[in-house]
Amino acid sequence: MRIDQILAGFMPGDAISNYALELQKLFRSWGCGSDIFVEPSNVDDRSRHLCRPVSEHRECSSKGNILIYHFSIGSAVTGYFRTVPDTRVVIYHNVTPARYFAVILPGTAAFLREGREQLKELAGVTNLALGVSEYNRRELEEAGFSRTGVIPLINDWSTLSEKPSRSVLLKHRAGEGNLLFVGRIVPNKRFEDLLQVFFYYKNLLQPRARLFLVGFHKGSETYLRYLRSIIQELELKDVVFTGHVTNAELLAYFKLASVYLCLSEHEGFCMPLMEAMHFGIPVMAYAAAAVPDTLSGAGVLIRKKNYPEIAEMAALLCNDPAFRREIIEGQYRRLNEFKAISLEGRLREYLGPWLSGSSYR
Amino acid sequence: MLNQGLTPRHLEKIDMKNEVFEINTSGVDVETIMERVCERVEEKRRTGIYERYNLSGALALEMNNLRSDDAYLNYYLKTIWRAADVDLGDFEIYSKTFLIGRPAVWLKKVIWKLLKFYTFRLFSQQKDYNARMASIVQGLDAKYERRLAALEEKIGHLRQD
Repeated sequence: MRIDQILAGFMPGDAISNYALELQKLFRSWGCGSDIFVEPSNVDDRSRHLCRPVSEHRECSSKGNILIYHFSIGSAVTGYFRTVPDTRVVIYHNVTPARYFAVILPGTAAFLREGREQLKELAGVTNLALGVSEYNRRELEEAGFSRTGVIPLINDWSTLSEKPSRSVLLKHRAGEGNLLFVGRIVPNKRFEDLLQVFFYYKNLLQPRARLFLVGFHKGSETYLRYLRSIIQELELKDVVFTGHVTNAELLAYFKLASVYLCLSEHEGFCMPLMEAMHFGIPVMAYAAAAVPDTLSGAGVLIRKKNYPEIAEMAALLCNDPAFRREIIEGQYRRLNEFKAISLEGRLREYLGPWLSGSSYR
Repeated sequence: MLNQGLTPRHLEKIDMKNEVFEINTSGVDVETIMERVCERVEEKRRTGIYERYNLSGALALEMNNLRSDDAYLNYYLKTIWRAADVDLGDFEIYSKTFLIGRPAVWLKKVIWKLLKFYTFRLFSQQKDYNARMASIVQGLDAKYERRLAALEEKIGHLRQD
């Protein structure tokens, strides 16, 4: 038996690509054949050896197999997925609302709009649809999928115990009470809000603080220019756009951070929140999309974007050791709950009806 | 930063306990924490700090206001001078490192003086070019605005006739 996966694109370091690789390992450990098929034009050169063109899937497609589609954007592979005889499973990573991209990345906005349309079309032809958060599952239900469930995202926690980059640690050692956000430079992450909170935080509360914005900005140059114009307008100092970073550099930024601040307005899960918890950094996050489910009562949930109050709360988390300790302990409890959920167990439960004839049993 | 007379959404006085934050961690005295945050914000508001440090400039750039290519063009036209007017003057040179601070500052000052000596002519010419280009772009925009307004007026008159 085979359990294959298809994706609209594949990139090293991309959360969905990494997830597909982890699932592939799992399926192979079950004794199933498993490959990742991708639209060739959307594959990064460094990743070509990890996946195959979607056109090659026909050769291994059959009624007794399972095909999992990681869905997050409109793509030509949706049309192919609808026609295969395999058991069709969608793993839904959420589609960012197109309005965030309408002005600065109209091309991306068109694919996102198409994604929402395609999701509805998939509802009628999919045997099982799984969201990576309860929020995503609810969206699947709203889109018309009848059989839905939640499976956890998995993270390779061992990569977080590697050695942090010494040069990054040295470069920013003078910073105190630093704020951190990790994520691609795209409009739905609302970097402009982070800058405005940092304006109060730096000028009125923590003059030696730095704001680390860790994430690549390829394709978002217009948005980055816009953010830089805000920095210029506010005469803000010590805002660090890192661009793409290595794992060691990412770990160094986590080590340097005092508070993790997320003001994003659309997240399908937001794994960096869990990573911040892993490093014992208090998390403050805006209650949008899947974020309340991800935090699940831990950290500080922001209900309204009042910048001065958010800056004060961040400063309090830095300067009140007892408050900081309680929040961090609460976060560790949440993290342990999350780690205890077995992906394999959940998948076994959901895919069980179609796995009956396989050697997996 | 000068106060430009805005009292934007993010500075509205609101009931924080219910609206801004939610903390569900056991062991945290949520009420006291919220009160402390409220008090600190209120104190700053009373002393007028938020009026001195306000975000009116950034709010003028709110992404939500820039919904079309025209809006972007208008924004760039308004701000073109800030980008064109490059500051070539001296600036404070300092070091954050205590031990090698003084030699580092001395070295940086020497490098800056040399750089300035060799590049000032080039950069001032570039600055002059930037200024002319910014003036031309803004001038052309104003000229076509006027011509379009005149044409629209003329069309209006013709329609009335």
